Amino acid sequence: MKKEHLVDAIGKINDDILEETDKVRNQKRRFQKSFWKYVVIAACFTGIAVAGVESYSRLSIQNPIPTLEPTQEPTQSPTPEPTKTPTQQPTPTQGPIQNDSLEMLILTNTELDGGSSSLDWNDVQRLRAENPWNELTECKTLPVFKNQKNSGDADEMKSILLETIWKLGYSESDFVITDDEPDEETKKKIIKKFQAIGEEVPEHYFEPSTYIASGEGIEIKVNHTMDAEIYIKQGYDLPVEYHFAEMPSEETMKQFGNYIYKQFETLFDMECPRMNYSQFEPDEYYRINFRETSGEGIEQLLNYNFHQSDVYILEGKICRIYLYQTDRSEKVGEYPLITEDEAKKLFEAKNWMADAAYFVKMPGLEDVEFIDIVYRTAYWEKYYMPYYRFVVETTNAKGTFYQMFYVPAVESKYIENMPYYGSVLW
Amino acid sequence: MQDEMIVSMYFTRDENAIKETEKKYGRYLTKIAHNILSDLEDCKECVNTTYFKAWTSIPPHKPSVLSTYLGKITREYAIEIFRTQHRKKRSGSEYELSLSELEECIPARQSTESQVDLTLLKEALNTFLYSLTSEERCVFVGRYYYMDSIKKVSSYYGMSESKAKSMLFRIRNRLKKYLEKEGFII
Repeated sequence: MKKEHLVDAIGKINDDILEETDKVRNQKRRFQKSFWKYVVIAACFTGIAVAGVESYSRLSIQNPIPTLEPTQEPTQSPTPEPTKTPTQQPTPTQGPIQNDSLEMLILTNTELDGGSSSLDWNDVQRLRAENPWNELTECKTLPVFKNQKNSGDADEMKSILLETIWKLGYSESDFVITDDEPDEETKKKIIKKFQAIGEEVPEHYFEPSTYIASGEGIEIKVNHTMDAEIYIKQGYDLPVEYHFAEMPSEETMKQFGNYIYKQFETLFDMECPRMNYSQFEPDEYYRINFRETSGEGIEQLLNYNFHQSDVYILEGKICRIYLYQTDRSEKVGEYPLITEDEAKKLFEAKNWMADAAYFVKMPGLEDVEFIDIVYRTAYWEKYYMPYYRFVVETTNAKGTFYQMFYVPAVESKYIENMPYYGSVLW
Repeated sequence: MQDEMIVSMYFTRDENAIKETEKKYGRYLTKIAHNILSDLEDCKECVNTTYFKAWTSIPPHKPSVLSTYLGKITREYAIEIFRTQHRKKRSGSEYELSLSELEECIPARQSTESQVDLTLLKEALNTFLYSLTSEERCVFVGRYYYMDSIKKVSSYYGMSESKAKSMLFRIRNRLKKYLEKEGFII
């Protein structure tokens, strides 16, 4: 028997053994609560000025991907009109409540909405500190928007793809643009699969759902959600001082955030970026999140919720950037909000949605760490509407962690299907 | 999103299934691939192939735990990439080339036999692993299934790296004796 045989056989061991190990592997390494005071990330990076369109230069990358050289200045390239960014949207106003004209809102995924994601104490304190809602607690109404995503519009997808190329400082000619329409052989296989379960292939099923721009060292994808994903093939090397073997200090994280933002500032396109991170695992694969916090009052809250980007880092290299294209151009109306006390009653009545599919026990008000308001902006949401977010402390054998529960902040009479958790897991 | 919901999306051929799979398990699968391949580009190919294989195998398969189902695909494919790359590196030698040509002469029956051997070996391994304590089992599986570093494995239970190393050494010795007793020639 060769060692390869043993490796192959280990690859086939029983699932329950793998699940057991997975649980142990994935338990979070925790930091002491007192550590929090050292790692609070400052609200806004001062001194970061976003370059204007006229000053677009190649990617603004100090450490560019070596094999891609510009063929022409970005401003000279046949680029599409930039799609609307939150800062270009009409400023929402807190107008009169138009109760009679407001349409009923439909919620999606009203039971469970996530995996087993959980946050530690430091993660939730950062979330708590950064939310502009903290300054708006007296607000009586908030706008609701219709989600424009999932249209699958090919022109829109291509337009976002080209805009992303442009924002990176390249031109279309630097990339080969393809789509994911399956070839004839694959189509036949899929048709057979459908036939096997007695169904026909739905209309438009084979139409492209993703456009891909492939260049040397970089790949950009835009799919039906209209979000743009940028893959940096060999990884974008971070300076050695940002290869973290352990949790860095607050000051280092601030510098780190500034550094990353600076490398891609034209792409992120924010006036007042705020960095956050959660489930940070030094020296492994982690995510840094940037949110726009320019504007005042409700405008700031909307920017914070709708204009964000993620940077994924694997072992000291940026490997992926995700740009959320959350369009709030179609405002449905200004909806009256319930009070926090009313939200608490709904929470106790289990009228919530959860980020996690697993709970140690049914959450109660006594477990709530804090409550604020956020918009849920996942691509499957039919409407972008505000929710009271209940951050709940939970304890299991591995320690204390936090999970999120969401109660609609809009008055219930405007909601067609109020969420209700039906105790299905007990 | 719950696994059950994602699997049902595969069954209804909803392409969002892959998006949801990536969202929930992308990081998990990348880590598995990266432990074997180290190269980001290869990892990406491996994880994308996992999504494709999931798409083409569900249905008929209906995994109850997606993480292990996908993880097995990723691990298997990453090892395949690793072996192919190392075979290519050696392929300059005429000896390797002739060996690879001779592989074509091995009858299919023998390949079936080796599958049977693999199944028997897997069963023996399962029996052996169930005989270990939970801590020993997780350390062994973490190192030899997930291919985590000794440093990472030792962090599972907050033990020192030297303790993890000696634990693995003892388990390997016990496994060797067990396999010999079960008739596997090592």
